Amino acid sequence: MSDGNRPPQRHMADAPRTADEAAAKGETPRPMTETAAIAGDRDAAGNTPVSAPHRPARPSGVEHPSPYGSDEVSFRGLDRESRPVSVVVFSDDFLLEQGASAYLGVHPEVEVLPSGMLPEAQVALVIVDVVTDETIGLIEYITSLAPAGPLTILIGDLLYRHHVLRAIDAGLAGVIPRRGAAFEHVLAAIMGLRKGSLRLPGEVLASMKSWLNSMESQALEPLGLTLSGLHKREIEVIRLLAEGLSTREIAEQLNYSERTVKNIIHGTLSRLNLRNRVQAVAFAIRSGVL
Amino acid sequence: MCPRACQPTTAAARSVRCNWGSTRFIRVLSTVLTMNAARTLVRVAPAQHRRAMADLGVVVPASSTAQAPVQVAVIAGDPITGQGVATYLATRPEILVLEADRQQHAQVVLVIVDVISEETFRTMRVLADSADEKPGFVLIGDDLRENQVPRVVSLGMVSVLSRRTADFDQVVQAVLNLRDGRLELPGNAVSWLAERLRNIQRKVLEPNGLCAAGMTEREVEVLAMLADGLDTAEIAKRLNYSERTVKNAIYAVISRLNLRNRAHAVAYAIRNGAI
Repeated sequence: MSDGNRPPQRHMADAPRTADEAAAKGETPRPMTETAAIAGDRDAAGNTPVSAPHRPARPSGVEHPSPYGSDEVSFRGLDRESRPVSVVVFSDDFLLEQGASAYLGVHPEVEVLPSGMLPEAQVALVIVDVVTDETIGLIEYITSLAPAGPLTILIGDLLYRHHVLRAIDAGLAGVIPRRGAAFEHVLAAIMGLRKGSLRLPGEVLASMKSWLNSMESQALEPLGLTLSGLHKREIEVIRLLAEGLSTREIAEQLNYSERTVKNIIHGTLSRLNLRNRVQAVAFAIRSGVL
Repeated sequence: MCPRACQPTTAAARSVRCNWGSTRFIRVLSTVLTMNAARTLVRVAPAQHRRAMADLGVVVPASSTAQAPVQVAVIAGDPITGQGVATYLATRPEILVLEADRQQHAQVVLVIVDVISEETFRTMRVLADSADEKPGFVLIGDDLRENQVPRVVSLGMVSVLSRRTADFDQVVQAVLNLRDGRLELPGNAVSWLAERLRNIQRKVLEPNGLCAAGMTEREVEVLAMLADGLDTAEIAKRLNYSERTVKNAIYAVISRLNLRNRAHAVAYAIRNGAI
């Protein structure tokens, strides 16, 4: 293996986690590793800054572009190129990491890079037996290198709902259940990324779906919101717009003033960056609320 | 010293000094060692254990071995398809196809259509409402549009297979997986789920100060202390709030999330990773 430049004791436990996580667990900051050096946001002494919010904070002002797609395009995937896919392997088991790197390195369609070249890699593989907060922290770190950074595949079992939520929120591109995982599955997943297919195990999908359902009824409904991002009042108005009613007619029907209706529409347009009422109607239909 | 009767049988057990000198200790130890060896085999999680873990918020993949046949109702867009599918499934021991008059007992409803339309969803909604216990659905059709995904998601546990490519083995597997709590969805639906999840976190929860469990930071603070056994007065003192504020926070969580009492609220917070 060509990994001469990696310090011998590199271990996933030393991998950078978010500062807030470290603080929340009451642990002392860990010494910097070379992967933290890439991040460049640790202080010179190599200590992660300590602060106290209960959830790991997102870097402010940085909107992680989603690999999952927006209105037009579904899952981003890898570029469809013919050259080998560059992969970096992480594991909390050093032997496993070496073995995986060696096995994958033999395959002609895959090129294994050392962990120091993480930002240049196209895919990051994280292989663990037990998924912990640390694992999720690592995934969040890797995905924070987006958009130029690697897509992450986790080989492990996402058993806890809050892990599922954090991992998907961070933009995890694929999950392979640990039991029975063989390298052919790993290779299939990596090649699948090339074709733009997102692989998640059935139980993870079920967990995501049930969270969405319960969020809808518990957190969204009381606030009058819906999964589409449109407020209930806005949907009422847009529904009538779709029927071809004018502002005045809508105001009459819903018992609002014309100014209120105009404000509602304007609020929708500006919040969702829509250009006009026509686009608002199209958005509502495409989101499945009409 | 161990009684003669319980000589350690495994090498590992032998290397352990048996302080208790009881047969029970040796049995427990060898069970543990065997279980560790069995870790690499497929984990079998009986349904009750899986449900109990699911309560804790743990998603446990189950295996489909050694369980009663799944009761399945078959709904198809035309009689030939329906009868053909029912006839084939009758040959599979893992599946029990229900007669038309017993369909309300179905655990999984197989819906086979050419085009997935609003009518499909209406039919599914009627079936879901009229059944004894809300069934899961395996919908076999093509070209699920992204704006139909919310409907699919709101109907409960629904897997969607492509009619063009699915063969019977895949259908049976999908039915069994659904019974075990695993969904199968096409790529655009998975992307939609993932994107919604991110959107909710960022555009709804965060701006309203809610965490992933649907609670505000203050509510989480208070619940964390409740979980440590503190009472209202102590919490108020620690957090420098008035007692009324603390009580209001607790009450807000309970009523908004439809929980029954403080213990339920604490359990909910733990299960959802908030504390």
